[in-house]
Formats: sequence, C-alpha cells, structure tokens
Amino acid sequence: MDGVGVAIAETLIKIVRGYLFAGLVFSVPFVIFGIQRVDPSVKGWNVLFRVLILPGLSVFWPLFAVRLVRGKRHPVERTAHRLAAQSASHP
Amino acid sequence: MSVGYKSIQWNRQKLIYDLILWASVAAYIAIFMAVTKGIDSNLDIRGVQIRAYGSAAFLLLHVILSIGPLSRLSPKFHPLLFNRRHMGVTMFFLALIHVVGLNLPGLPLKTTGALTWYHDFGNLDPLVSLFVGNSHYGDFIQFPFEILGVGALAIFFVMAATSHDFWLVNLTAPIWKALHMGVYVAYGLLVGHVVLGALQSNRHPAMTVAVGVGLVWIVGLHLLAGSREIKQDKATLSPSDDGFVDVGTVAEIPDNRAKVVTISGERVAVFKYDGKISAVSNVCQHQNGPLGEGKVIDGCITCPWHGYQYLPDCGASPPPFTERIPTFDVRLAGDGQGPVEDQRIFVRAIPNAPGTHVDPAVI
Ligand code: HEM
Ligand code: FES
Repeated sequence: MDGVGVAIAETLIKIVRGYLFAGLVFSVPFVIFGIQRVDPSVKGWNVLFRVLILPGLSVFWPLFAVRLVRGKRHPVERTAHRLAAQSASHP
Repeated sequence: MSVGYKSIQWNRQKLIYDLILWASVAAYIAIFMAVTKGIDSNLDIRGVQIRAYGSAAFLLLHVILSIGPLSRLSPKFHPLLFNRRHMGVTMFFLALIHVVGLNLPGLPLKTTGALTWYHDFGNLDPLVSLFVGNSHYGDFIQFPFEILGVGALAIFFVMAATSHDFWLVNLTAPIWKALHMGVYVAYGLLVGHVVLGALQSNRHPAMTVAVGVGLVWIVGLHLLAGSREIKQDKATLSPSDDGFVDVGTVAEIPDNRAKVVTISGERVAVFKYDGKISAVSNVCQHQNGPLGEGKVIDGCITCPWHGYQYLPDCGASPPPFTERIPTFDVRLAGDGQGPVEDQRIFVRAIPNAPGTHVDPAVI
C-alpha cells in the first residue's frame, strides 16, 4: 500500500492508543478516590474488583468523568411497568 | 445482589462449571495440535497454534450463542446461563492468544499469534502492517479477512471488559444489553473472517461447509425460540371496566410457581405460594431475567438466571438488598363458592410503584 495508507493507519492507531491511555490516566485515580461518589454500591477496598473494571473504564471513562463532575449517579432503568406505575401515582 | 461488588462471583457449582470449561478448552487445543501434526508433520507449529486457538474461540462462541435460545426452549439449560459470562471472557482470551500469542514470563506455555507470525518481518509496526498489508478493500473474495477479525476482537474486548455486574448497573441494563447484542455483529464478522481466510489460502472446502452448518444451527435455534416468545406476547390481556384483568384459575398455577401473562405492554408473573396469590412485574432488576420462570424459594421469588430474590407481596429484595420491582393488586372471584381450584384470579392492569406492598389474595 502507498505511503498515504500507511500514514492514515498510523494516525488512527495513535488516536485509539491515546484515547485508551488517557482513559487509564483518568481511571486509576478514579477507582481509588472517586468511584464511591458515582456508585455507592462500591464498598470496602476490594482491589481485584477495581483492577477488573479498569479496562472497561479506559473505554467508557468520559461517562464517569461527566457523572463525577455533575455529582450524578447511575440512573434506574425504565421498563413499561415502571413507567405505568409512575404515571399512575403522578397523574 | 448489589450489597458491595465482589470481584468474581464464584461458588462451588460455578467453579466446577468453569473447571470443566477450561479442561475442555485445553483438551480441544491439545487434540487439534496432535491431529493436525499427525496429518502433515511438515506444518509450521506456529501456524497450527494460531489455528488451534482461533477455532477454539470460534467453537466456544457457538456454544455461547446457543445457550440463550436453548434455555428459552427448556429450563434444563438454565445452569449454563450462570456461566455464560465466564465463557465469554474465556473466549475473548482465546481469541486474544490467536492474535497476539502467549508469552508470559514464568509460564511454560508459549505460543505465537497471527500478528507476530504474519506481520513482524518488515520495518512496519505489526499493527500498522495488519491494516495495510492486504489492500484489496474493494474486493469481495480478496478482502483482507484479518480486518474482520479485528472488528470481532474489538467487540469481544468491550464485552469482556464490561462483563462485571458493576457495568450492568452503571451503564443500565438496556444499554448493557444493546452493547452485548454486538456479539451477533462479531459472529457475522467471524463467519467472513474464517470463510474468506480459508478461501484465500485455498484450503479444503470442509472448513467452509463446517462454518455453514454452524450458521444454520445458530440461526435456526434463534428463530425457533423467537417464534415461541412472539406467540406469548401476542396474547395481551385487556382489563374490564373495573380495571382488573382475568388471568385464569388458581388450578392453573403449580405451588411456588407462576403463570406469566402480558398486561400493560409487559409480562406479569402471577405466583401461587403458601395458599396465597401475588403478582409482580416479570422483569428482574438485574438483567431483565424472566422472574415468572423462577420458583418461590425460602419465601422469595428467585430469578432463574442469577438468583436475585424478591418478596412476593412487595416486590422488594429482602434486606439488606435494595432492588425493587413493580407489584400488581390481585383478587380472587368466587370466594367461598365452589371448589377453590376453580376460583378465578384478577390482576389490576395498572402496576404499583416498585416495592409497593400488596395484600396477597388468600385462596
Ligand atoms: C486482530 C484480529 C485477528 C487476526 C489478525 C486474525 C488472523 C487470522 C489469520 C492470519 C488466520 C489464518 C490462519 C491460517 O490460515 O493459518 C486466521 C484464521 C482464523 N481465525 Fe483469526 N484473526 C483475528 C481474530 C479472530 C477472532 C476474534 C476469532 C474468533 C473468536 C478468530 C477465529 C479464527 C478462526 C476460527 C480461524 C480459522 C482457523 C482454521 O483455519 O483452522 N480470529 N485468523
Ligand atoms: S436477571 Fe440476573 S438475577 Fe435476574
């Protein structure tokens, strides 16, 4: 393949690597200091649990960064019955 | 349930299933290598290793994709649902070894991956070479089949990385499920990866035929299970003037079990236990498992998928757990007259807020 193709491939790979690396830089302090503010079900100091979620955090870190900044937690899922119960109690 | 996350949820039974899984994988790889070497001893061992791990992952993917529809067709397969996650993570690692090999310090097991073997000669980064080595992107048969593998591996990585319960809660079940539906995209990509790979290296057509048989099996099983589900959901019941729905008789429900009916656009599980009737939303808060296919164990509705529990009369998990599902008002008609078994059960169409206590109807 020509030089342009190689350059495009190299750039894309660099972008993906950079994104994941930035994720890791965010995630390591996050699992130590911030995680309990976003999900109170994270209790105690289970190190293996924190290591297990690191790869996923490196992908989805912007979601957690936004929740951390806004002081929000994860939402509760909405099913047809939950919505119907809600509209029945607040008509 | 969510009273603090555990790292890996192992109990005796799950551990046994995992040990069987890993032993089968190890046996498969050993047999694959022995047989291939037996057929042609001139083959490069590294090529054989790459194919052994790739095919082990692909086969395991067939098992994983079969478990869902099989357990819809028969509850006998429910125990496998518990282990599907560990199978998925195992498959990801097999695929990863297929691609990058295995070379951990201190571990005697060393294998070569496709990335090193095919792309590590020139002065290009092997990863870059992977994308530019074969540039027939506009061609069908000559299409770089390895790129299809890259797509599948990326999907498996995201799925394995989000397999912990933490992700289910924090991404919410619908998004998590949508993400994990990506397994079907990955499967499609892999069918292309394997078939094109075999075609391009002019291998025996048996490989293509085997992939075709697998495809027919997976699609057929899903169509069969899906058509059953659609039939059940079509039979939606509508309420009469007082807002209650006639869901059938007491005799229809076995003790400690439920009858599932569709009301208000979703399934409702009507349970019979201790001479009482209670109705709750059929959807488990964990991963939307079908509560109505579970049993009442120790006084709690127990989800057949991963064992989350709810008290039948209030739809709440027993303390200290905090899950709550919607409940439904129930009543029986014909109280006191005729055989109790013939009493009809009525369920109010409008659900109560999750966790609301409802007096059970006493038979
Ligand atoms: C970056 C991703 C991937 C690359 C670069 C890659 C590379 C290759 C290569 C070069 C072959 C041909 C081997 C040969 O003919 O000797 C192959 C075959 C194969 N790959 Fe992949 N692969 C990737 C991902 C995957 C994934 C994710 C799976 C399955 C889960 C998979 C399953 C297979 C299978 C079943 C074969 C056929 C084995 C056989 O012919 O016996 N590959 N792959
Ligand atoms: S879906 Fe996992 S326990 Fe119900």
